[in-house]
Amino acid sequence: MTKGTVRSSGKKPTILVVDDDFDLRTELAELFGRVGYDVLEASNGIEAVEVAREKRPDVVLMDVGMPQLGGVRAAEIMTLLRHTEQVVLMSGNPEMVAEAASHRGLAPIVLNKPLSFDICRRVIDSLVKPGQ
Amino acid sequence: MVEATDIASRGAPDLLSLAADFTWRSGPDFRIEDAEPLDVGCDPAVIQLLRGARLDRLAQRTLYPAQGEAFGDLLNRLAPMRDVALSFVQRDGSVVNFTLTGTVQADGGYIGVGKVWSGRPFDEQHRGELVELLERAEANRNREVRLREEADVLLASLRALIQPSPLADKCADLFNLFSRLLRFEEALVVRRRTRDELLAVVSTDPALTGLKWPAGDIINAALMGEALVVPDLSTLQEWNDFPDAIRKRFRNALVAPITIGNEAAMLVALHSKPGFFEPSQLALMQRLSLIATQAFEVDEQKNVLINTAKLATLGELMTVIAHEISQPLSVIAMAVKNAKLALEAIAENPNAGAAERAIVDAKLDRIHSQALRAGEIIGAIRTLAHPDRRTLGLRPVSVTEIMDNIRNLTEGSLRNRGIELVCEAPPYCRALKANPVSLQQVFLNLVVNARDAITEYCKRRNEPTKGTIHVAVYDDGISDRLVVEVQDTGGGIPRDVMNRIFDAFFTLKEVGHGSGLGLAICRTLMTDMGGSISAFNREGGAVFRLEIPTYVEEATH
Repeated sequence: MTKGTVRSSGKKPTILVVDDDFDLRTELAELFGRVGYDVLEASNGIEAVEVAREKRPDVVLMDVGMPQLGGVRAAEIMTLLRHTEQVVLMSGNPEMVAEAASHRGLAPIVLNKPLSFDICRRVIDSLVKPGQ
Repeated sequence: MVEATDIASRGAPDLLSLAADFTWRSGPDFRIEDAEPLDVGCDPAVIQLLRGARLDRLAQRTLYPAQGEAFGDLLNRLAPMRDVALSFVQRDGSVVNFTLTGTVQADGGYIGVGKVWSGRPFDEQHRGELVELLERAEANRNREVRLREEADVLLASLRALIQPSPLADKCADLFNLFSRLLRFEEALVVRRRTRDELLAVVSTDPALTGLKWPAGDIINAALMGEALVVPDLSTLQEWNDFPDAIRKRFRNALVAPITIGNEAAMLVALHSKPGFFEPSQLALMQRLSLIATQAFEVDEQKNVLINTAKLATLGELMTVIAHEISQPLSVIAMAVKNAKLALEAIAENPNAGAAERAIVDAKLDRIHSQALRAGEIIGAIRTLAHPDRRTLGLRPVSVTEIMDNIRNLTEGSLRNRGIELVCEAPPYCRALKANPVSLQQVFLNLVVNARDAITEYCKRRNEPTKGTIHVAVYDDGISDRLVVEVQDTGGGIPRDVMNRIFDAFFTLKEVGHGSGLGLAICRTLMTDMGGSISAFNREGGAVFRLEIPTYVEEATH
């Protein structure tokens, strides 16, 4: 599984999963693949910005604490450049992240880690396929 | 006796109304140029003394210092003088007394008359006063010397009080200082250990430490907050209850109450000679007990501080910990979900069984390893957070184990910041004699400091955070110490603060980001373990160097 790999083709919604933790990233990618998404991966904020610019994912699911470029900053860049419609962040300290993001004029959805896939999927689905 | 008109004819002052024995005249330099007797009865010794003498010198030499001073003052202001009494000892031991009266002349000199006083009463009166003055001056000097000594001792004891040394050393210092004033042979602190037992907990003589102090008048008085002198211990009712170690050596005691925490205790100074201590020494003894009370208090506060700062470090690390633990838990949750979906896929399409079953297998393995990862992190936190283990004492500790713990705790937060943690140790390394919790705290503090220094350094230079923390263990296999160096690439410690970094409440971090206690605590912990910590700069980074005693198997008895 390399970064930016398109898992499958077709008119499926595209999700970019960003986490520096290999285990978590691959599990998430696999899960979203199973429930009908095209999945892109990136292991840090810089890669994520690059992949997003190139592939224009429908939604980005991103960890906050990452080397080189953190999730909040990457989310800011992607939103500003309109590389994606929606960014969902994941963090063990969601309040702190919301706080930090609000300083940058963002109001992202922040999911609490440890993560529940069901909640995660519901949130992502609601963003990507409104009305379903 | 001569009429005033005689002098007036030579330009005499108008205040000459006194019967005079001699006349005199001085130049502007106060030298007496002329002194003439007016009466044959005038003591020639006076004339001799005056001729050629200088008035200002006479003012200094008179036996009557107060008058001399006033006289000098008059001279300085060139004011008229009236009946200034002067008095001088002659070579033969006799005393001459005379009074001078005079006015200032246009040239700045004086002209006037004088009267000789045949002198026994004058003379004896002065001598008496003089002796009294001398005695008082002597007494003052003694008192001043004593006060200065007391002040010195008090100052030195306050200095000892704020030294970052263990309580026992501090007490020893204080006792040592006060023995200079109280001249006791031994001193001890007696405190209630169990409900009925009073023990000497600190003592100048190790042989006396742990001795039991009998119940009785002394302890009752002290616990009621009373200081007292016991001229002879053997007259006390409880004398027979004293341990032999005290009965054989001491008879005289000086006792003052002292407070340890909220608990009343007492301070005892001992001497072998009955009646050696004087009641006047009680005040001093009480002052000693006040300072000793402070020493105990400072000690307790230090413990409180250490615990508070430990909590602060924990608080900073809570963020890291939350991330570190939630990460494997998230992975587990996802892996379970994936395994479940794989199983559903098998149920729907048994043909896909082999591939999906392999996936389930892989997921189970991953769940297992992630659970262990979370467990390791929790273990590391548990050793860190337990507050009481520090007192458990020293035991053999593997430095590599500590390093692994630290790595587990910090690697995540370091990786997130783009900082690499490199740990190096020789393949075989002797065990340390240390307290694992304290040591871990020191390591953790140094690594977190290094992390912050690198972050700060990169931020200042507007570069993305990048750096390396190098933890290296050196064991030469010979010396009784192991050396651990923690080096960062954070630009080093500014030279002007190098000697302050171990001070409490000193921090280079931004306001609100550091308690300023971290390194101070590191030093305390290292000293407590018999080790040391030092800092210097090397290759664009700071190096903290720990020296830790190695564990030596104690010989079996």
